Amino acid sequence: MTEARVRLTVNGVAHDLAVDPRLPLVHVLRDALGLTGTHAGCLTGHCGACTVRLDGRAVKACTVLAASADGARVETIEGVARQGVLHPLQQALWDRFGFQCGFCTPGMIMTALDLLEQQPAPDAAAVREALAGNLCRCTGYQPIVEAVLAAAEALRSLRRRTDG
Amino acid sequence: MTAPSYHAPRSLDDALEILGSLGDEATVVAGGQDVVPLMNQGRLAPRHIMDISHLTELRGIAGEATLGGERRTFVHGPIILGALTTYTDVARHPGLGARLPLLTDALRQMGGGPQVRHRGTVGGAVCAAQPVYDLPVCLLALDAVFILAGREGVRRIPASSFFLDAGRTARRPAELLTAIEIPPAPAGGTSAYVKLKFSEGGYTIAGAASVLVRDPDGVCREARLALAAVSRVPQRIPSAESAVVGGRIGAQSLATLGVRVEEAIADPIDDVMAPAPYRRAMAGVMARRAVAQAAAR
Repeated sequence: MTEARVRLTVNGVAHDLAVDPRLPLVHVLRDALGLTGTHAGCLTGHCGACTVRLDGRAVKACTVLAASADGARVETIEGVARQGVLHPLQQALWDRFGFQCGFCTPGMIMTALDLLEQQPAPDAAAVREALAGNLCRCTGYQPIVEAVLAAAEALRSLRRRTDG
Repeated sequence: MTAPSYHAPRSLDDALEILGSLGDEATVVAGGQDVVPLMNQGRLAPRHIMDISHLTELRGIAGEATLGGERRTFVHGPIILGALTTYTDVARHPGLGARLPLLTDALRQMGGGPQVRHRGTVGGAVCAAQPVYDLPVCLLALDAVFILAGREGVRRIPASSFFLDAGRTARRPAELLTAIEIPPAPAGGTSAYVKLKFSEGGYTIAGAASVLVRDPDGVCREARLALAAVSRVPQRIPSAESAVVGGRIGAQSLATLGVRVEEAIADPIDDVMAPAPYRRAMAGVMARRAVAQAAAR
């Protein structure tokens, strides 16, 4: 066969597609599904702008064949805000000037969300290590690290309120 | 350019059957970290894609034993890494880091971020055989054996004869690497991996993997030293290894080891990242550091 069948759930919506088996996941998300929030940067696995979550874990969508993602659950930046309300991580990036041009931001967010789920109280070193595969040419990283730390705190207090 | 045929078998038997029928023109994709960027750049145009990422039977780490009612990890036997075990699986495994600290060292110094570790597989790193990769050289220092399966049966190839050139290995086109076997370390064994790179996401300029076996009094009985990113294939340096065997490891024997490393590298890689003389010099430094670090453990 020269087309591959891909059944994907993207941000909770099921899709059944036939794709060119050479295509990386990032192109299918952008061109077939119109989800252009995931950015195509270097296409060599370096810059991290295309980061999405595949079955919960952050991956670079330019290094994964769309066909390989058959059966997977994909989360992209479009699924992060709920009903027009920014996620606490998005709000923290906004509040702390964690982006300028914004090209890297969707990838930064998807990587950081994976970190915060695995490690709800990271220190600055853990945040820097987690973001090592995401390049930003504007901010110098410092405000991004601060925003992730602030978001971690916000999410923890949110959880305390819901638990209590 | 017509699209390649695509095959995504769900069992190893099916995969070997299909691979055997495709001749020598199939491109095997596991985690995709090496192959997919090459395809994106147009540097690789497969005629057939053999996607093995769904072969869950090839993912996992074996070698645990229950002794005296207590779960202990890797007390005696070899460790088996399934070819599709991810870097994250290795990093998270309880007990593996204590037994093979150089693997933990290598993962910590690997560029690309957690995304690459979540998706990249140990088998993919071995079969890609890029000189700048960290895992092949660690497995060479550990005397690992690669298990290759084909329709005709199974071959066991030691790491020392697996890497033929940059990007070229002893794997035949109709074979799959299914597992990596790491023999048990003798008592007193320890290890370390040290590398030089210019930025967090930069490629290895020179890397050194060291495995030492020492007596309780500190005398070194056996040393293995393997270098990454210096030659086109991972390389053991026997003349340098012998510099630290037979005595306690100290400043003098480490200095000799560094000099012998530099002498032994005939034709270092020379590219935009680093000229040959610099690579040679740094290989000596990394070798000294790796052996010193293993000796301090």
